[in-house]
Parts: sequence; structure tokens; C-alpha cells
Amino acid sequence: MFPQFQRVVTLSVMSILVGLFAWIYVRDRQPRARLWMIGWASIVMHFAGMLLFTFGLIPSRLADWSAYATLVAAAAAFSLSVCQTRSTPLDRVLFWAIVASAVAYWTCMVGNVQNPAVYHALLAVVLAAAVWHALLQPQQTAGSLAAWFAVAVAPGLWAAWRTSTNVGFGMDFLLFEGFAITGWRYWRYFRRVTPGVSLTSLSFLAWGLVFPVAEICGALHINIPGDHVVWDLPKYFVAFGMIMTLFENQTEILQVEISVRKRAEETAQAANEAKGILMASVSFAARRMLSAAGWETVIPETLSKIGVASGVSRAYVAQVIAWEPELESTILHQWTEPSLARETGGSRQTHLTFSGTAGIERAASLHRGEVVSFHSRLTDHPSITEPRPSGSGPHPDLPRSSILVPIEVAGSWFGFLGFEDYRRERQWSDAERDGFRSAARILGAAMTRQNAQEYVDNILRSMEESLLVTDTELQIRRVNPSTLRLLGYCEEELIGRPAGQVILEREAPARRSAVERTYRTKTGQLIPVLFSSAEMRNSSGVLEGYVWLAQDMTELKRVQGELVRAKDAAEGANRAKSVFLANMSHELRTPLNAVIGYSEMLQEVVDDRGQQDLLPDLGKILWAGKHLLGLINDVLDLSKIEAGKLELSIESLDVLPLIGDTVSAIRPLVEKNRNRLEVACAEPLGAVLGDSTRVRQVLFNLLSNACKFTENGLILLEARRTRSKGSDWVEFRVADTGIGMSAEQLDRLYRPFMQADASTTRKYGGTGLGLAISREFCQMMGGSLSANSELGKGSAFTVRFPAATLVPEPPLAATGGIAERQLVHA
Amino acid sequence: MPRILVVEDNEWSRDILVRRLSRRGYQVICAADGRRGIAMAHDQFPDLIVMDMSLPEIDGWDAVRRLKADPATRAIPIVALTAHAMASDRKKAMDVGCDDYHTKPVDFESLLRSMEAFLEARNSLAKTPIVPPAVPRSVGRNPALLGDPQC
Repeated sequence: MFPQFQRVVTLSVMSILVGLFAWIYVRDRQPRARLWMIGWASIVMHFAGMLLFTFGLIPSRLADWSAYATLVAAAAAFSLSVCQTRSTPLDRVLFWAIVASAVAYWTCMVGNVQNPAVYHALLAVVLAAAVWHALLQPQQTAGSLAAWFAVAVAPGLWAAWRTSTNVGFGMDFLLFEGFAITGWRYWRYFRRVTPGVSLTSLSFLAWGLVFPVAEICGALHINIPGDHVVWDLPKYFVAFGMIMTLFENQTEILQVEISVRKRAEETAQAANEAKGILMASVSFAARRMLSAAGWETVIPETLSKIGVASGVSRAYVAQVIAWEPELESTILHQWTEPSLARETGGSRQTHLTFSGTAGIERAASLHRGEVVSFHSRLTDHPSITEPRPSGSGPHPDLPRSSILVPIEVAGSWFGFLGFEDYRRERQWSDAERDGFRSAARILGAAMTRQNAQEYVDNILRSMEESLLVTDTELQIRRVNPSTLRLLGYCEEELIGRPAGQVILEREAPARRSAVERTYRTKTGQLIPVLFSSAEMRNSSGVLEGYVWLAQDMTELKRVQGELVRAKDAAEGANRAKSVFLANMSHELRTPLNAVIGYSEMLQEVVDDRGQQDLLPDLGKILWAGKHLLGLINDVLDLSKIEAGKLELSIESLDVLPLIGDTVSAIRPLVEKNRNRLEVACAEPLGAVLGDSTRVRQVLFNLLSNACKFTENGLILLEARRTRSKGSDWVEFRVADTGIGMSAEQLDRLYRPFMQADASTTRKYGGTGLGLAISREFCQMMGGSLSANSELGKGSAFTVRFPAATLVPEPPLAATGGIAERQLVHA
Repeated sequence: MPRILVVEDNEWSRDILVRRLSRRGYQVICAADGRRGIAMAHDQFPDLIVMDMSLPEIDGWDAVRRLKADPATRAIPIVALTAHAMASDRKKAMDVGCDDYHTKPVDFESLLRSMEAFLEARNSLAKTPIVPPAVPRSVGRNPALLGDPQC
């Protein structure tokens, strides 16, 4: 009956404890009180289970399971209650590994699993966790390590060994571990030596030791009198210790508790606030940078805002100059925390170099777009030229922690945004990293945008032409400086105004190019412009407006006007000249008509009356009259040639009839000076391409010259086909045995009114225009005229006209043709 | 005997033509302005008209146009004679209806050749041969014309 009685007593005591802690929890909402309540409730259930089993109310298997479960739950609850807020992930892993393994272990035991490998494996998990925990525990000392091994590892190994014969040893070890660790945690948690804490810690250890000791005693058949009481003693001590601790420290515990909670809350709040401030500053940066005219105008403000928000000592924008073999950069802008700035005496670093392996690695990371953060010691910091003060205190030139965030501009690495903390070594939180990254992205975007903007602006600024961009409603959206210069407005006066204000013509802005339009300046002056309009569409083809390009045509117009006036004047003068020539020709012809008419008539009359002695004088009058007529005709021809008014009708002219006609026309002249004319034609001659009248005129002129300057001589007319410069020609050569010309005379041969010399005119007649005109005619018909001569021996003129394609004549017709032509020659 | 109407305002030019043509055996009548020229063409039915183009009252161009528009005178050949020696003048003369065109100073032989050709054509058309008198100088003359039986 005793054990039962004792269990009932224990049950009652523990129940009182549960009630006590429940009351404390309800009163103070203290998490630890709740956990203690849960722990003691588990113990109550433990005893309750035993009692129920003792009275045969539950089966043994459930009783076994419940006995272990409640113990593990109690150990877990107590352990959790002293789980420090600063507990590392390692602690949590160990704790839950033990709990999970214990649950699995006793479940296997109660389930009568026989395979020892399962138990070994579960123990191994716990052992591994314990070893891992022991090795990685911060602030290790050899003693703590040894203690840890003594408490956690060695018994485990022993238990594992013994498990092969009795699986209960493993469970004992696990329970020992659970309670021993709880004790250790309890000790560590309060960190002070008070009777309550010491009692509780040691009692937990004792509670843990109960299980292996009881087992060993059982195995060794050692009978401990009143063992149930002995085994339960640690529980009482723990309970007592806890209550002592509670009373010892209640106020303090609560205070610690509250302050810990408060601090945690504050930390969280501060972190949130910091994050919020950082994000706010980043979004501020975004707004300013993307709306401002240039990122450089807002960067100082932005850097200081982000710097303050993130609590760094210094923030800067650096542009990379080179990154191999070392990372070299120029600091474009920087912000330094005021107090640090005071310490450094306001000196500003403008150049930043990271050398060595670290530098290359950082450069490579940044180039890949990664954020680089590092802590600096005096030895590996970027070269600081100033001498460093000795000592390990904060160095004004040495940032303890730095973080570099790459900036990308237009797809390539531009530089980085750097943040440095000179006060402390710090771990950059995710929020900070995100914030810095966002800031760098925004800065990069702003730089990219500004570069693109500047590029476009430069193009617009350097344009001579006026450029005007409107929206679809024809409101002016953009103008370039040329437009402002042209129209005399300033930009504000035009933007948003209807385009009709500057252009005179009202019409739909269709696509036009290089048409003439009129712009109206601010002063109302009208400017003629060469105007082009194009539709401006965005990348998806939607009409966004129109682009007008205009070029001032004032000067052009003025020159054009002058040219038109000059042309009119020239045409007027030319018309006057033509009218004058026509009138002169008309006025001269009427009296000449009388001179020539009367002298011819008189010649007939005196001839009839037999007064031949008067004939020579009449002949002279007639000659003079005809000379004058020739002169007038030549002058008219020449003036027409000069005015470009001479019209030729080019046709195919058969050469033989041409020669025949010319020869018969020239015959009287040939005979006049008792000359002989020989004609030599190299057949076939075909036809020339030329104006009938003018070709005849040229040939007649050459022959008449030959006749004029030759007496009792031979005049030779040769005609033949030649081929040169890839085309066919018909060449006429008129040679005489006359007076010939000197080289000088040959030189001025084609000058109007220049005969060989002035006396020639009197002696030989002629106007001195014939050759000049003939040569012009030849050239106009695509031919040429050339001369060679020797003084006293004679002259030879060669004239050449383009030949028409020779059409081979049928043999029969050819015979007849030749006969006919020979007749002409004769 | 072919009757030639000479319309010419310049007295000397008219005198030369009248005298030289008369010497060649033509019956020559004359008028000094366009209006009278037209009237004479209507009244006297000349076989050919030699018409100066610059005339008072009605100028030569207009006179030719009127004569050629009138059925009564349309058949009479008109030889234009003008001091307007530009190429365009020739075309203009032919356009208003002149049958031939000669510039002043007159190449008399050439004028005669032209006249004779018209008269011959007219004769053969009317089947009443009109024979020009013998020309003392035959330089460049058409043998066909020279060989006229009524010479």
C-alpha cells in the first residue's frame, strides 16, 4: 500500500504545484510559468498513470507508454522554459533530436520492436546531435567540452553498448540526457548561484540520474530500501527549487522577462523601422532620381538619406576605372556621417583601390552583379596612404564593415555603391542588402536614362534644323534650340501650346517631305521654311504625335529672288537684243534692197544701152551691198548661236547629192578666179547626220573661202568615211593652193571678224564670220572643223560630221546609183 | 501676159519691182497699202501677188489671211516679200497662207524662178498657158520653164 500512498501524496503535491504555476501564469501571463505548469501536469499524469495501472484500471502497455511519454513531455517542457531567447539553431536541433528520438525509442520499446539496430540508430542520432552541439558550442573551453562529453556523450556510448542486452538502458540514457540538459540549461539561464537555482539544477541532474541508477541497481540486484521514495526525491527537490527560484527571483524574473520581451519587441520594431526608413529613403531616391533633370543633382541628398537610414558611417558612388589587375575606382559622390567627418577632419577620399586577390575577387563578383560585403582589418584594407595610428580602437580611415553593390548602366558594369561602417563590425541584414540593391538599381536606371537622354539632347542641340514634336492633338511637346532661335520663343512659351501658333498653314499633318511652309515667330514675322513632317509612332505602332523638321529658307529665298530677278533681267536684255537685232536686220534690209535692186537693174539697163564702161562701178556698188547683206546674215546667225537659239533639225543626208549641190552652187565662184575644182569621193560614203541647210552652208563656206584666196590654182574637195573614237564619221577636206596662212593667222582663225589681216577684207571680201559660224555649226552637229595651212602654199580645212549607219545597197541599184553619182561629179 | 500685183509701201522697192518685172514682160499693177492691195486683187484678178508684209492700213499678214479666206481670191498665188528675215518669219508667212517667201534684199532671179513656177502651175491647171517673156539672163534657170512654146 505504501507505494500507492506515496504516489497519491506525490500526486497531490504535484497537483498543487500545477495549480500554483497556473495561477502565476494567469496572473502574469508568464510563458515560463505556463511551461512549468505543463511540465508538472505531465508529472501528475505520470503518477496518475501509475496509480491507475496499480489499481488495474489501464493495461500495462499503455501504462508503460504513458510513463515514458509524460516524463519526456515534462523534460521537454522544463527544458523549453529555460530556452534562451538567444538560443542558437544548434540548441534547437539538439533539443528536438532528443525529444524526437526519445518518442521514437519508447514507442519502439512499448511496441516490442526486437531489432537492436533501430535502437542503436536512434541513440546514434542523439549522440551525433550531442557531439555536434559540443563541438560547435560558442565560447568553448576545454573544461566545458570535457563536462559535456562526460554528461552527454560517455553515458550515451555506455547505454548504446548496454542496449544490446537491455533496451531499457537506452531509454534511461535518453531520459537522463533530457533532464540533465534541462538542469544545465536552468543553470545557464539564470546565470547566478542562488540556493533555488542550484537546488533546481542539481535536482534536475539527479532526476536524470535516477533512471540509469535504478536500472543499474535492478541489474545488480541491489535493493535500496524505500526506493520509490528515493527515486521520487529529485522531483520534490526540483519542485522545491523551482518554487525557491520563483520566490528568489520572482520580481527579477518577471523584470528580466519583461525587459527581454520588451527588448525583443523593440529590436523587432527597430529593425522594422530601420527597414522602413531605409525603404523610404530608397523610394525617395527613386522618385528624385527618375524625376530630376540629372541624377547628380540629387545624389548627395540621396546618399545621406540612405546612409542615415542604414546607420552606416559613409556611403559613396564609385565609378570603375579598371578592374584588372586591381580594382581601381574613382569616387564620384560620397556622404560621410558628420561625427566621422569631424574625426577625419573632413578629408575626402576620391580614389579607391582594392588590390591583391581579395580585390580581384571583389571585382569579379561585382562584375557578375553580386553584392560584396567584407570586414576589414588593418592589414587587408584598401591602400590607405595616410599613416595609421597604432592601436586596435576605431580607426578613422578604416571601415570595419563594408558592403559594395554593383551599379549597371545600359547593360554594362559602371561602378558600385559602397556603404561602410567605421564603428562596429556588422552583419548586413537582408533588408539592408535589398535596400542597397534597390538603390543601386535605381541609380543605374537613372544614369542609363540620363545617358540616353543626354545623347538625344546632344543630337537635338547640334541640329541646325528646327525640330518640333507635337502630340496627336498637335500640342507642342518638344522643341530643339534651333526652333527657339528661329522663332524667338523660350521653351516654356511653346511647350503645351497648339502647333498652329507657329505654323501659318492650317492642314492635316500628313506625311510630307521638303515642302514649303511658313513659320510665324513670336514677333509675328513670317519665315519661309523647308518643311518635313513625319508621324511619330511608338514601338507598338500607335500614333503618338508628329515630328516636324524645318529649315529656314529666308536666305535661300532671298538668293532665289535675286536669281529670278537676274534671270528676268538677263532674259529682258536678251529679248531686247533679239528685238534690236530683228529691227536692225529689218531696217538695214530695206535700204539694201534699194541698193542691190537698183544696181542690178542699172547693170541690166546700161548693158542694154551699151554703156559697158559703167558696169564695173555698178558692180562695186552691188558687191558692197551683197557684202553688207552677208554680214547681216552672218551676224544674225552668230547671235542666234550665242543665244543658244539656233535650232538644228538633224536628219540623215546622203553625201553624194550634197556634194553635187554644193559643187554646182560653187562653180561660178570657182571660175571667177580661174581655179580648177576637183572632187574625189572614196565610196561608199553613205549619209551624214546633220541639218541640211547648215551642212551645206559649212561646205559652201569652206569652198568659197578656198575660191576667194586662190587664183589660177587647184581646189580639191575630198570626201571619205573614217572611223575613230568608236564611231563612224564622214570627213570632207577642202584644200587649195592659195595664199595660205601663217601660224599666227591660224591661231585667230575662228575669232569673229578676224580675217588673216585687216587688208584681206578689202582685197578678198568676206565678213570674217564664216569660219567661226561654220565651226560652231559643226560642233553643234557633233562634228568638228580643223585647219592647217602654210603661208604661200595653200590651206586645207577638214570638216567631219557623224555618219549615219551605212546601209548596204542591193547590187543592182548600186550600179545605177554609182552611174548617177558619177554624172553629178562630171 | 501674166498680171502681177505688187503690194509694197516703200516707194523705191515698189519702183524696182515694177520696173524690173515690167522689163521681163509682166503686166504689173501695184498698190501701196494692204487695203488697196485687197481691193485690186478683187477688181483686177492678178495671176500672182507679190506682197510686202509691213504695210500701212492693213498689214501684209492680215491682207494675205483675208485674200486666202475669200473664195474669189483664194486661188491667186501670193509670194511674200519681207525684210523680216528671221526663221520664224518664214514659218509665220507660210502659216497665214503665203505660197512662198522671199527676204529683202530681193534675190531677183530667185524671185522670178519662184513666180514662174507658180504661174506655170496655174496655167496648166487653167489649161490656158501663160508664158513668161524671155529672160535675158538665164543663169540658174529651170530649163523646163525656158522651154515654153509661147516664148
